[in-house]
Amino acid sequence: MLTNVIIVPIPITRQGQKVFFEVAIPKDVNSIIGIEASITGLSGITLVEIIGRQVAGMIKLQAEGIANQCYSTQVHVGISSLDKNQPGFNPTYTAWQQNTYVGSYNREPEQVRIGKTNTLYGSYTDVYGKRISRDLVYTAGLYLWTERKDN
Amino acid sequence: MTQELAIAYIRKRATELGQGDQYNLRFRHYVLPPLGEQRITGGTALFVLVDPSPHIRVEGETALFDLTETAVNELQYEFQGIFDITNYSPSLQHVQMIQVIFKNEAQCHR
Repeated sequence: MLTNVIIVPIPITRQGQKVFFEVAIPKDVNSIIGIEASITGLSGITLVEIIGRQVAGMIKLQAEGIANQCYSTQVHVGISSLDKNQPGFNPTYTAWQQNTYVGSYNREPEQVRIGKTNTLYGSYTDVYGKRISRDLVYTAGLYLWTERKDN
Repeated sequence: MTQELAIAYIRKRATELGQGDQYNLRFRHYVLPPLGEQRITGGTALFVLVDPSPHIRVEGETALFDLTETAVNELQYEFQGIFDITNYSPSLQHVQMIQVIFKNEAQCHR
């Protein structure tokens, strides 16, 4: 079995914005085996201003052929207190570290098993920008780990 | 979306979704009392909104139609699973949808 990652960038520009998207799944994909979601390219606020780890938004997914939601998760932004206590790092400079970075520390794909589907329907709702009443500009990234046929 | 467009759209859309012509259609006409709300449990069928009134809101987990909504960049006409239809108006409103029921048995048993 081969594994591939499908990356879905979701641009957010306004507070409380809702984005609906659709992901076409290639025909040779047998199932989706892992899902990651993260925030990148945040502007309009500095990381120092974000106190602790906050919910940035909510992702919901529907798969074709499966009734109702097949997956939903909160996407976070900011640095958790655990990250600040990493040995060898000065807590003062934690804002310089990459945070909620997929493939980076403290993260791994969430294990799921979504069977053969041709299309995923999804929605992302901004929570953090609405809560602090600021238009934050960022990209919410959805990473779908897929299992493919060997040929 | 007009009914003619919806029928043409559904034909192409079903092919795109890998279902070919293996589907049945039902025309659904919901009646909403003033300021009323109704929850539709759509299962795996696809619901396509046709000739929508400007006074209604249709909201699912991954789709939304509401002409007064400002937080979205795009409105949807295609719904799946559980979704709510709401009447904003103090008068009776109608919501018409075409339900696309796929014949794929493997999906029906989920």
